[in-house]
Amino acid sequence: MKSIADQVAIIGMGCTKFGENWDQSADDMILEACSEAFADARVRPEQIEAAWVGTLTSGVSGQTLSRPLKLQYIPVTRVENMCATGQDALRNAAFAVAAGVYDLVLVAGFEKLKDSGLSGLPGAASSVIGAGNTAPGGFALAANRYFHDYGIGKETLAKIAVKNHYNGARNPKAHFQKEISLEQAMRAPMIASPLGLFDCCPTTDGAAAAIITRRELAEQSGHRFVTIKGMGLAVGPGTGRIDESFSFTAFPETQKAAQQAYEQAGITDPRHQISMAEVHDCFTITELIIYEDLGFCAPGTAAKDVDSGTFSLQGELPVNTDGGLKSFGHPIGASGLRMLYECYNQLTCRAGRRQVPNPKLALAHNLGGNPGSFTCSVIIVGSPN
Amino acid sequence: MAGIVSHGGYVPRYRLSSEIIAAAWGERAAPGCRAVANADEDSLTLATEAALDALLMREGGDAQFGSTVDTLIFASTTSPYLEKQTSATIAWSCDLRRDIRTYDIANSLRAGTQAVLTGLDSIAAGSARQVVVTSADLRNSAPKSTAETSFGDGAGALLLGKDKVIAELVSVYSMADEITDSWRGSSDPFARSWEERFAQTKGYLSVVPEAIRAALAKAKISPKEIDRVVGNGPDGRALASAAKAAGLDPAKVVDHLFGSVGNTGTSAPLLVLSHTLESASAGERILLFSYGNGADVLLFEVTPEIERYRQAKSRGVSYYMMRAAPMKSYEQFMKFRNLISTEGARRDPPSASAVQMWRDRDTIYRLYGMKCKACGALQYPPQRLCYKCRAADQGEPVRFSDKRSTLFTFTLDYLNADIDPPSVMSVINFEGGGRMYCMMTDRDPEKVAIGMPLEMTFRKIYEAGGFKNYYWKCRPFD
Repeated sequence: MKSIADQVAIIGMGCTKFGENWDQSADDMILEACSEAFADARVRPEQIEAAWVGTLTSGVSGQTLSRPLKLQYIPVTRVENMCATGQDALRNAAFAVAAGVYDLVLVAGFEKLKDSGLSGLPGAASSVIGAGNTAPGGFALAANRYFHDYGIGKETLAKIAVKNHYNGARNPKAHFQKEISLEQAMRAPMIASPLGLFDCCPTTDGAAAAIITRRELAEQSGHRFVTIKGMGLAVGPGTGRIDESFSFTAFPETQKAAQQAYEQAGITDPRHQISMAEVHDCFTITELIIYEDLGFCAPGTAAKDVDSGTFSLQGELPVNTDGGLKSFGHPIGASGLRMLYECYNQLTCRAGRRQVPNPKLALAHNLGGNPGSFTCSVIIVGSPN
Repeated sequence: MAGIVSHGGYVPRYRLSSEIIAAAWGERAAPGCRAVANADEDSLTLATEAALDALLMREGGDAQFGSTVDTLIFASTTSPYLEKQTSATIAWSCDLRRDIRTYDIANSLRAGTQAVLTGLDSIAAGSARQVVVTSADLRNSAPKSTAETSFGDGAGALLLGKDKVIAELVSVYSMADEITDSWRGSSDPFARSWEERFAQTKGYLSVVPEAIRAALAKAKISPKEIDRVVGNGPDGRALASAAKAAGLDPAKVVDHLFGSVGNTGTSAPLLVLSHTLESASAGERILLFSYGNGADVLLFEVTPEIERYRQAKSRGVSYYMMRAAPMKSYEQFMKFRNLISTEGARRDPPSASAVQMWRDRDTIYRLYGMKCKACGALQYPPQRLCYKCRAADQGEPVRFSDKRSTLFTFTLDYLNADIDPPSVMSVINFEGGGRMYCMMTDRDPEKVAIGMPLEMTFRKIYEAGGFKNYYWKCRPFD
């Protein structure tokens, strides 16, 4: 297999304010995020040769992107891969660029969730088999088993929520820009035990976009840019709720996607080689398990690193410096690109109050599904070699 | 001679005390309580439980009788549908053969004994080797009515046959009677009745004694030769009066569970008979009667076979009565019975596809998973490709409904729309292999813990797509 490392450059990115964007339609948000990306990359929309757009349920077909941007008869593909949709859109676009088919490609991701009048995601079981499943309920299954196997409790999870709110409070585009106390997180109303309100990410509107090109073209342009070092995507067989050997405390999809990306990027010691990471903290327990699945620490030991602040903004390996899904919000199709937006800003030293000193490699981890049945993307970006 | 081969009963877990009902209306409480079905139970699921008990499917291992059952009859005045057969669904949930006869007998509290008579006639005629009769009722009563306290939910079942009979049929007598003493129209939420004095004098207390006397005369048995009397009736006093008027010793009327389970309607004769047979000994004569626009009287004599049978049986009415747990409030009862409207779920209930339910009917109603012939892995639901060795189409059906399991992990989910939150979502590992994700019912949320032992129970999941959706849940087994 050929490595994609350093072939594709991200030359511009955009992201709306995430939140309950009552006064913005999906089209408004797409236009806003893409306009920022165009300006950042210093390209005009008519220069785009092809586009990929990711959304879970807020639109169908490439026309969800061509209509608001008035794209003129170019190829536009809609991508959907659960909550990993945003990164998979970028992944497909990056391959097209690496193949040399297109020089300038737009990737966008968005979700308009707050028009439904509901909290959480739309869609429901169509069969009694699996009836009663909710997103927090699915991840709570992992939390209770993790607590049972490793003897930790809610406080570890609360510390992750506190950290992500601390980071989000330093981010003007985050859904929640307010710090919370450990006590607040611990005493929040129960959603699906042991997960309380502050263990869950919110339901959010938002859009994000990226402009990518071949690395040589980026170099010629004289722009600042980052390159893609590795991309992994692992789609599981979905057997965790059938297979008695599935532990619920480690997610093989994350491990496999990371393995693919690490190999391409030449990473053998992720904890020390990666400067910062944006991971899919849909629930606090997810972030805890991700630390272990990405190889940042050994299985069952993540709580120790949480206690010692390893993953805080000032820590050894800052995670979710922009507030993560917990604080930045989670408009499904946009989230994967929002993570890369933070990585890109950190690597180009534009992260303001959240700037990590001198980052070289950044990891973005995007996860869809529920424990036992995941789709996972890991993308590593860095300063060009 | 045809008779009873096995008996079963089921009483739901919750008990609502008369005290709580009285407190709701500012009245003085009488002692006792009544059984209340869980929010996910109805007469179909109650009848399934009683039938599973009669088929000894709870006793571990294979059903002991399932393969020779040629007929299943469901008796109730509260069938979930006015048009759609409940007995066919129960045949599926009890994993009976497909080439059997199924009947619903309805519209009278006498339906239970009429189902028994129909079953015994089929056996005598040679058209059935064995017949399951299962009766259940879940009758609503008007708030603040006497019935609210006196009614109870439950189910009783009998397995009828010719071999290994534990109680032989000695004689039967039936009569019809035209009277409008109690009735419920299709738009009536609760049963109505004419003045109690009239209903009892000219109805129950007149017809029941007449039928019993005729039955005894027909069988040439004197009232003194009857050891136990089982029947139905509005209360214990009426039952004793009817027995006395028929020349029977009122002391022979067995405990009809009025203060502990309640008047279970159509279920009462078979539920109380099942409870009685738990302690009956060989040679005893049991008179079973039921009333409702006429009366049926059946005389049984217990055989020595009952001793061997008792060794094989571990469940029954007493077992389920021991599992009783108090219902917390009158409001919870009202909510379970859909008698008050509470704030609705923000989300519409999920839509169900009748096509999908039909295609997966063995997976859903029989709880069939599979065993991979290539690697031996048990799995639910069945897969085209084995999850373990990926062999294609090597699955042979395995029934999981009678398997026990332990809780691997769980959550108490307050987000899912549930009449009785939280939804206890469970990942369970079956004894002998296989894993399932399902809801837990009949549980105390605070007592749910990883590793707890569980068994399966057939319940209503929700009503969606314009029809009721039934499926299996797990429940604590202790």
